[in-house]
Amino acid sequence: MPVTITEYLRPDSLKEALALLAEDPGKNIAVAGGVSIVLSGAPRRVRAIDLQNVGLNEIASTKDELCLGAMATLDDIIHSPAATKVASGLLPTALRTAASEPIRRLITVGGNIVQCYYWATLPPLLLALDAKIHLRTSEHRRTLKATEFFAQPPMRLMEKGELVTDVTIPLKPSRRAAFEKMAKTSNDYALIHVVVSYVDQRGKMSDPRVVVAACTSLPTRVREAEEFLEGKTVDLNTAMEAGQIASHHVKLRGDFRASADYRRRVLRVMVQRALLKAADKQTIS
Amino acid sequence: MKLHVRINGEARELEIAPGAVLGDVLRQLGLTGTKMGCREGHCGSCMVLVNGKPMNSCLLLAAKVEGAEITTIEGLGDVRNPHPIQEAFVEAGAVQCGFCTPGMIISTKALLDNEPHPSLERVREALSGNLCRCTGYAKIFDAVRIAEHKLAKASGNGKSTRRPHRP
Repeated sequence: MPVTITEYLRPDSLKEALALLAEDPGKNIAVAGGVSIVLSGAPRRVRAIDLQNVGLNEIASTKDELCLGAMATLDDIIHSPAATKVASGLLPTALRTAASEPIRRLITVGGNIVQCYYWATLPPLLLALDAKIHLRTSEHRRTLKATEFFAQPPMRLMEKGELVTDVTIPLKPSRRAAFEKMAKTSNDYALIHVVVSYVDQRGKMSDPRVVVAACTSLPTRVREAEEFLEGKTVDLNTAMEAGQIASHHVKLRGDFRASADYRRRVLRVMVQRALLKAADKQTIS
Repeated sequence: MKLHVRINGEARELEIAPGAVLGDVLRQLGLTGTKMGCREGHCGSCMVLVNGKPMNSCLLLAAKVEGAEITTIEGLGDVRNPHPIQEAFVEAGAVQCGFCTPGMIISTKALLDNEPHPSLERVREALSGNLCRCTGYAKIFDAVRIAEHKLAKASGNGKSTRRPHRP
């Protein structure tokens, strides 16, 4: 294990955790689910600050928004009645495709979005749902739009001693959405993630989002496809054209799992399918 | 650092390295039924129950289970007194090399404790974190069905009429 944990602390409040993280910030590591700490991390000696008991585990909803505590796990979201209110159950449907059931009990909201591995499932969903990410240090708080948070690897944007405390997602009853994952086996790392969403205005798309991930180094909104879709009705031709636009305006990564060219061909079809699925007009599966 | 846990029903105070993972701690206690296969959460041979829920003990920092109840394969049964799920795996021929079996049985235990009569889809989902490179899973799914019947019979509400079936 590259990271050597020299001391393991379990603060009982967020205030205490932030104060500990502010002390000599370079030597601390915040522990959420702990998965990425076990698997990787720079080779250094660190003091671990476990966030299990600092009150960030809750998932709650108001009339206007869903709030996911940073320590809520993917499994907590899947089983949360509050979380099903977002875009007809998009979150549980999509998160069920992430890793395996036992690992979904370890992966937290905070860990998943801060590490933002290219295959992570939550970041593209948050982009497509116009989420806001709330951060805190011992000194100040700030809120970032998902587009700002994921515009660079989030770790680079976060200050020393800063934590994600929670994520809020607006609840708009008329927002429709769909998610597609392509991987070589059901729980392998994704080769491509596509999330689309739009506000349904009497059959026409308003405020559409087309988000592509896993085949890009960061989850990406494809503005060109979104502009094309604004005001249009979803039908096969529109969906095909949007897929074509999306696949040509994204810088795709290739690796030993699949080449960029292969991903471009598949991405086109996945965007098309996701749009038809969101509109309940699937003609192919 | 000190770690206080209950392992297979017994309260333990352990001295652990702050960065140790649970699977290594358990194996150092002699509980070698928990295997460390891939050490990256893919194979599931390290599966243990933490407060009744299956988790990959290779990815779980031991320090995170302070105060928890841990169940390993040794806590279910042994050769002389096997658990009905262990019997079911033998009866179905679901064990070949056997390396994945403790993890498979632990995942099955958690599933059937919570859902006595799961659908095939739920069985597949619950075992999605356990890889078997020998059997091809058909006999493992059969074993889950046999275990379901055994446990239902033992608890006196053996209503399930589902027969073991293959995907």
